[in-house]
Amino acid sequence: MFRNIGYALKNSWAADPTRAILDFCVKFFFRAYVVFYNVFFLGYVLNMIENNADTTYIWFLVGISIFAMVSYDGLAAWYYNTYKPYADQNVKKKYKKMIYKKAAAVDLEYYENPEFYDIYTKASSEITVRFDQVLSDVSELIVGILVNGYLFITIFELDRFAAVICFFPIFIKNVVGRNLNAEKFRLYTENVDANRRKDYIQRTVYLKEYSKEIHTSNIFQLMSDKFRCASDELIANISRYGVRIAVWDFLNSASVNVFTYFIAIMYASYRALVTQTLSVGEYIILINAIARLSGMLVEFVDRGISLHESAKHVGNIQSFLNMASSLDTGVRAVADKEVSGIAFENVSFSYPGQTRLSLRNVSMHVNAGEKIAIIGLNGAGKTTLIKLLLRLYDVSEGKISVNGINIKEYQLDEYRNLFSTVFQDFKIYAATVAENVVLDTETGMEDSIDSALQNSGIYPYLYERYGNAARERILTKEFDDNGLVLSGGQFQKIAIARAFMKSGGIAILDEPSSALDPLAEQEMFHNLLSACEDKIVIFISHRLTAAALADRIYVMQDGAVAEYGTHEQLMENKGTYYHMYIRQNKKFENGEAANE
Amino acid sequence: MNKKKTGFIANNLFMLKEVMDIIPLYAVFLLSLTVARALINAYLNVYLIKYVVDAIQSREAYETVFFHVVIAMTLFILQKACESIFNNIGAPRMKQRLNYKMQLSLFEKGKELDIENYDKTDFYNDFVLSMSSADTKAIEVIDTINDLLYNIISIFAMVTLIASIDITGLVFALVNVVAAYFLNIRTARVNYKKNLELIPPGRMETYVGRIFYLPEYAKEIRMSNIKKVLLRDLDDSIEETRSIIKKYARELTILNFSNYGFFRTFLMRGVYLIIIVYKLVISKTITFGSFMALFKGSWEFKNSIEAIINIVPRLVDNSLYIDKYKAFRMKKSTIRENSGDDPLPGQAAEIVFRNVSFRYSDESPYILKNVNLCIRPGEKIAIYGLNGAGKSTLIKLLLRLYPVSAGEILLGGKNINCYSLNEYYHYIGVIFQDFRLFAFSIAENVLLDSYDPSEEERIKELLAYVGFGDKYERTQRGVTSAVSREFDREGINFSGGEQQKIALARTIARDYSVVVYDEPASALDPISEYEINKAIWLSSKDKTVICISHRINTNVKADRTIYMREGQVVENDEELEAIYQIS
Repeated sequence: MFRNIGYALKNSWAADPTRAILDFCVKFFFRAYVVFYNVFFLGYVLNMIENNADTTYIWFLVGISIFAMVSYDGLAAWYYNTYKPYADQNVKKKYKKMIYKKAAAVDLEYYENPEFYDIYTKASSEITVRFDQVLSDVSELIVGILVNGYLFITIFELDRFAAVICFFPIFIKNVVGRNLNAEKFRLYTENVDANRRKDYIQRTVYLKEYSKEIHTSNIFQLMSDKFRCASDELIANISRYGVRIAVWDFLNSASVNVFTYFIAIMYASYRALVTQTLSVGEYIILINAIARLSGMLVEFVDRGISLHESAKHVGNIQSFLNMASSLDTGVRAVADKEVSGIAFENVSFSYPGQTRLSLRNVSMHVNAGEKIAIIGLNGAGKTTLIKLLLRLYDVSEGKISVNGINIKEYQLDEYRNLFSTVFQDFKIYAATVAENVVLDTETGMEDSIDSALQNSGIYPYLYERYGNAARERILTKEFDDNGLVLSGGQFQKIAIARAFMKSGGIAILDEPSSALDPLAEQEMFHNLLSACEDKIVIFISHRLTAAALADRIYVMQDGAVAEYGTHEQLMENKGTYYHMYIRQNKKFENGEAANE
Repeated sequence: MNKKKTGFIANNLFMLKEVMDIIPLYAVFLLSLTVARALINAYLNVYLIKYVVDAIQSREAYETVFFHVVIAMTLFILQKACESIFNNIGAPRMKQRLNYKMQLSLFEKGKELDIENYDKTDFYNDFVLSMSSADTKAIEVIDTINDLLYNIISIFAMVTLIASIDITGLVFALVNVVAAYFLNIRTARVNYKKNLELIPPGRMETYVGRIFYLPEYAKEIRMSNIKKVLLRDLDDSIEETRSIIKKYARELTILNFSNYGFFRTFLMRGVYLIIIVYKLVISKTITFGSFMALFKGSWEFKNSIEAIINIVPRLVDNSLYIDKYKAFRMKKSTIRENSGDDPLPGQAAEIVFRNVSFRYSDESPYILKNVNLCIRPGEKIAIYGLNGAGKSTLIKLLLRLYPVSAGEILLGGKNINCYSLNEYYHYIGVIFQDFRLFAFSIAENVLLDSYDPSEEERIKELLAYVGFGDKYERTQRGVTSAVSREFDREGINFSGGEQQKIALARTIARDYSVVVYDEPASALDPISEYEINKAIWLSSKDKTVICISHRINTNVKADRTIYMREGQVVENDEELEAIYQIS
């Protein structure tokens, strides 16, 4: 725990030391102000009056106090309205970048792991809160020790028994509070399942995406039944736990006041009236001091608990930031952007945590400038093959080499930079058209961007509407209400333009034409093959007429290469490819396929 | 001004009444507990303190003081006990019931709403989406009213006390409050302007966070330098935020200091205190107890007034939401209201599009232009067309999701609007291009209705028919296995292709007379695609089938092929024929 606290303090301090110091000072002055004003100020004034002190002395005390309090208000106004919000932004930026850089560096497989997501979600939402929370808790605890200590000594000098009373609430809070939280937590745990179901329905019903199904079917009735069941379950749970929670809640909320207020008054009155050992001024100081001190002690303990909590969360953030990547980057620089060959040698692969092999003993050779199509049924391992080539995962067995060198030896970022990739689930970013094609901050490539857009077939559309400004138009309405929203097919064309950008290297396209109509698809493949003459192009497609254009076709089946060759060779072989081709392109009345 | 005021109060009362209709006891208990709490707190914080301090000064008998305190304590304990019971048993149960009843009736309303309301982003975000928090907002309305009540009682108690001792406290408190009121208004205005300016950089910042977070972006982030673009955007947005903060910092600091430093500390804690100390010491017009009571009471009085001032914007805020709530409730469904309730024909009947045109609004361009099309009973029609030609729109009109802008669609010689809407959807079944599965069981997803165990065999047959495979059979729960883990922790995740097959089973599960497919095989490999197509056409026998696809073999069994181009239907189109390789 202390290590976590240290870690948080270190980060908070590193982010902005001035802010850390000022934060402590403001908190200290605030506590001092509150205690002074509520406990001592009145009492002192009344004491002086009772003791017939010199009135100028009274006015002097009042004057100084008011001046000090107004000064604090000035400091706080400046700190909370000018200094802190401004400084916080920079600190937040530093924290966020730590998270993002880590997220961009960890293994891709983590993204398929729910536990990683738990850690990530928590770390990213809490890094901006928790480090500062720890700093603030530690400041408050130190301030608490100073101020509470002073108060305690004051009360102790006035009355030892009263000093003891102040500690009662802590014990009550501790025992009762623990039971209360345990019961509430039990209820919460029982409710998790029903709450999730209820939230799901409440969310789905209002979502646009589901509205058509809900309108045109009976599913609504089913949903409302399930909604009612979940709701009934929640009510039953409340009835089951409610009484116990109510009892503990009552003890928790009433008992503290009973001690710090009623019993304190009874006791102080006893001393003032029966033993006659308290003046009116002391009487007021005493009852106010008991109320304040016991209140602040409870707060002090809460701070401790909150610090303990924060430390746990900090541990979580720390484990995220220290997450290791299993893909070691090599040291070899990528000497040549021209790729002369890719070779898969007996590559096998299974996804982490799975025993089933997703790829079995795959061998494959690609020469400079070749155009390769990979086809196969859903789940045959096509996309996995691509992921291995891109080093998003490492092979379990065998070896992949580029230009004759095992890809693990290359410097990872440089190696990945060889590829221009269009994924099946490509993404469009809320950035300019140019940035969406370049995917980098580099500028000065207007001509190649235009020709890439030309080749992917979207240029005429953009140019016609926006002229030369088209490249600088922001895509999506994410944070620009004038942002450009295009159809799925048009967005796909912008993504495809990425493959045309880099000269040399390797272009990879995973199902690049799924959202295109046949006309656009034909054009796109035609351009791809002509514009990428000097590049290796590897594409996955379900459309076999497109695959037929490739120099070589690899047919994947159950994680292995079933057959490969040119379209003509494969048609002659009458193997898997032949059957697929026939089925996709012939009517089933004529041809063999219909007879099966 | 006056009109607006009655408006927001009436709105809040309207919501109060909505809640009272569902959980009448909630407000009754809550408000009576609040009255008790306000009175007891006023008594404990001020009256009792005045009493004991005076008693000490005048040397009352200890027993009297003790007795007094015990009575107060008993009242306090009773009040806390009632609150605990209500807060932990009664209130959560009632809130749960409110959530259920209120949401259910909103769900129903939403279901009846015309689909076009979901297309209008503003209306959708403002009115549809925000209804998911209707019941929490309703409780907020009651809480606001409750706070108002608490502070009104508290003010009465303080005024009564202070007026009986010395009126200056009220004057000071009021001056303070009036100043605070104007300063707060000014602050709120500045903050409003500031926050408005902060929205765009804030959106950019959130966006960057989301991109790094979402798994679907992870590959591209690793394969490209887009992260540089994103981090630059983050830098820019923070810089912009900082400059906006800086711009307003000075004014906000001054406002804050005037409010707290000058009016609160200097005036209330300083000058007023000097006055009552003077009265206590020099003019000796008040007792120690009264001094304490004034000191605390004027403070409580000020806090309550300030609280009430702050409650007003909350009421206005609530009122804005309630306007949306009312608008959502009042929203008419044109399609439903114009719907007749004629029974559907017993079997597949002729469908005729007669001069049908459609556009989303009066300003937008026509998506369908003068479409004429006649589909004979039991005919199988294939529709081809490039992206954006109007194919899906044609389907939506036939499904009565949108009203035609001109012309009419006839089924069995009658306008489709004459038929009962619910029965219509039993007559005509559809798989949308962007179909959705629900996180319920496989069986429920196929039936889109509740499932009875006696139907198990039929469901299995249907799944086998569409080539779904047996992944689910290996699980303990078979066809009752849930789809995805969103609803049921033991659910199974299915691939895109498997999901498409479940969706396809829907059209076969019911005995529809007309079935519409929009790109039914887009996520499938050639072999599954082939299987599916066989299933579609074989199951359709005497049904009317309308099928949209880019793939030639999907439609090979069609009796007739039609083409769509720029919102119009053409029977022959050589260019499209060539593109789709139809010979």
